[in-house]
Amino acid sequence: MEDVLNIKNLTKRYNEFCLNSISFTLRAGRILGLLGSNGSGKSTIIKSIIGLIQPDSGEIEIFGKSLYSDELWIKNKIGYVGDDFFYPEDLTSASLNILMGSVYDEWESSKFKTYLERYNVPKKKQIATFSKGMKMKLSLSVALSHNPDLIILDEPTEGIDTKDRHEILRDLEELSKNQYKSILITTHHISEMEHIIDDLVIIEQGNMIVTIGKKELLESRPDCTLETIYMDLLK
Amino acid sequence: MIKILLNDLNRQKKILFLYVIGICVISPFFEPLYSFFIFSIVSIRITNYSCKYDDDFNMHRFYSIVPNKRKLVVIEKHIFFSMLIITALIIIQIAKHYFNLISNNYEYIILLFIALFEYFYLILYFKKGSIYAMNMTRPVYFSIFIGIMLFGQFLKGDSTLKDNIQRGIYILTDSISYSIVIFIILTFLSILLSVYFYRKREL
Repeated sequence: MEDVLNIKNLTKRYNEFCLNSISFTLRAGRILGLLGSNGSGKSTIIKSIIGLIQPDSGEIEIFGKSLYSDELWIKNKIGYVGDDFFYPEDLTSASLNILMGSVYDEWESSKFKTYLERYNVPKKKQIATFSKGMKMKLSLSVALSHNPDLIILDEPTEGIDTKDRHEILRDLEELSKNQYKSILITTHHISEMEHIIDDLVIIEQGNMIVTIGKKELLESRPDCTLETIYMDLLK
Repeated sequence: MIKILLNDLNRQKKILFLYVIGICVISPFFEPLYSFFIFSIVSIRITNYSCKYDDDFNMHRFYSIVPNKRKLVVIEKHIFFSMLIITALIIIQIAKHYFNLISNNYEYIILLFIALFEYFYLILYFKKGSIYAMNMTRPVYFSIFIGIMLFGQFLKGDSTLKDNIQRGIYILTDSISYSIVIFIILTFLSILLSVYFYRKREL
């Protein structure tokens, strides 16, 4: 199984926070959950991967390449949903469809429309008037509509109602299992992600506690749920 | 980059339309130096507004996540500003020619000063954002203004220095190509510095 994302000794220092030598691998067709409490460094890792911030040291390889060696090709292969909304808010979903069609090489307009309908996102309403959950669903629709091989989701179910949340998680699982897409997902709600993730990386206060397969972890303590094991590891 | 530029122009199409109409209407009635000075200030305001919009609406993150290179965002903003100021200069030169307006070509000196000011803003903007750039440039502009006033007073007592400065100004105004070349060099330097800082900026 090929490595889609390979992170080695990723380090980033701020005044009051330090991400210490994080290393993990995401393989093709797998869902990796990046778990940790608030402020543990999950978003810093994600932002380093997609090039929003420059790490102090360490290596990040995406599809075997550095982001800056073939930036446009790699960015075409990544679908990203961030913790805040970054698409032009003066547009409507329909006009965003046209804009993104001119931005991504493999943009599928029909797929985008299908996702909008499935997640009940209005097509002709200005994005600025959307609720937080609606914007998140729109971001997800964009991220999944340009045929990305690596999907990176930073707290993707925040602000989304239970029904849509289940639908989104089901879609992600389907993408991974049937279409062989690799997914990196961060969360601090372990219980809802427990069913879909294959591997997990737990970080706390910038330090990596463990990187392990979910099956392997659960087999090591058959009487416990993932959440219980996670809480024990944090202690 | 062209898509970003078109997006920027489209977003500000109303103000740009008014800008061009304003130059066309005003330039035949004023001295070229004054009308160019006014519209170069307006072009700075429009560019700075465009920068602030990009900050306020998270456009930097958008441009960084979609298939695009950071340096293209920097180049686009420089082209946007250059387009505005060159448009003003061209329309004013046409008006000068058709209406036989008297001018010493001092507008080319203004072009260089305005470019210097705006590129200073853009470098700081790409380093840390529009609020930082605004906070940093205001005191510098004010100091320059005071400095020029004091320097003017000082020149009154030093005729040799005054002559040398006047000669320099005459060289620049006599040869428009000098001014244009200096403007292009300033633009390239600003792009290089802005790209350097923007690559390090956390979005």
